[in-house]
Amino acid sequence: MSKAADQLLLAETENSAARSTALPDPKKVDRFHVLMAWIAGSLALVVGIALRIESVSIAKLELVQFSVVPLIAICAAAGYCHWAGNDRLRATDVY
Amino acid sequence: MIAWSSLFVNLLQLPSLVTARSGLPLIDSVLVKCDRFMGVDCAAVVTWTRAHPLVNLLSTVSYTFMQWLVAAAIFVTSLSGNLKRAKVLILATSIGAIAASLTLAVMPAVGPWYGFDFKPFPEQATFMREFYALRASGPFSADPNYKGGLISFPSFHVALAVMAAYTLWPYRRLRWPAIVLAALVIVSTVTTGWHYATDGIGGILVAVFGIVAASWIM
Repeated sequence: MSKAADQLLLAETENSAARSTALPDPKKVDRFHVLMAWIAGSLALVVGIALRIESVSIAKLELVQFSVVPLIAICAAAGYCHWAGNDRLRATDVY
Repeated sequence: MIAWSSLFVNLLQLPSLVTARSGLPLIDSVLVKCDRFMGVDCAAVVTWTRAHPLVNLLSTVSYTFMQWLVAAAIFVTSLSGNLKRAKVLILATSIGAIAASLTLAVMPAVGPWYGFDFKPFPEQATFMREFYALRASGPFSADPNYKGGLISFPSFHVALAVMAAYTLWPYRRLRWPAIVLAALVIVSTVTTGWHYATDGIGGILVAVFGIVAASWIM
């Protein structure tokens, strides 16, 4: 049942050639993750300094919530992958 | 993928807090002229929408479809193993949000209720308070009760809806529902009175720029 659901999702994509069919090498760091980490880091640094210079306080925004949101999403994704029991999904998402 | 998108949903809201303080003149009058040139009178559209409860409800609900559309795009692409598409969406969103924040610094605007002079919703009034407080010199503390964005032109709501619909395009069963939902989101930005029609066009341009840039990088 769960494998059929996975296959349905995968079959939805018209251009299957556009998807990578090989499992990623877990030892190799994806360029995308490096790029996103670089953007997140530099954005946080620049915006942090700019907020300080402009005397803008975001203390009341409860930044803990910022961490909880990704946690919920990751747990949902991990739960789905576990439920789906699909090696390919596990490999791509955990990676 | 999902972790990155969740992080950036929050992180990308912060640059507008800085760029909104640029203090450059408001461009609402220009946006009103552009809307009138296209034959759109936001005040008349909003008044008509508010006079029809069902249309008003559909309009209000449609405005919230954007977040579901984006969540669907992220989850479907990530969980179906279509990582290239998910990566382009996340990178396009980041590029688009930075571009929209920078545009806010150069071309700040309040919203159609200010330009077309109609009564704003309570949340729009809260937005206006936040926006004016940011533009005023002196210390500013972000209001945790205000969850909306600060960018009027270009509409990032429209940009996200377009980018999500583009991302879901290869999925045959989701393609047309995504297009319909994105169209409803685009229309609702005007009918709810949150954006000028010109903001929507700006949002589409931001989406195209983000997608083209992200596709080129990836």
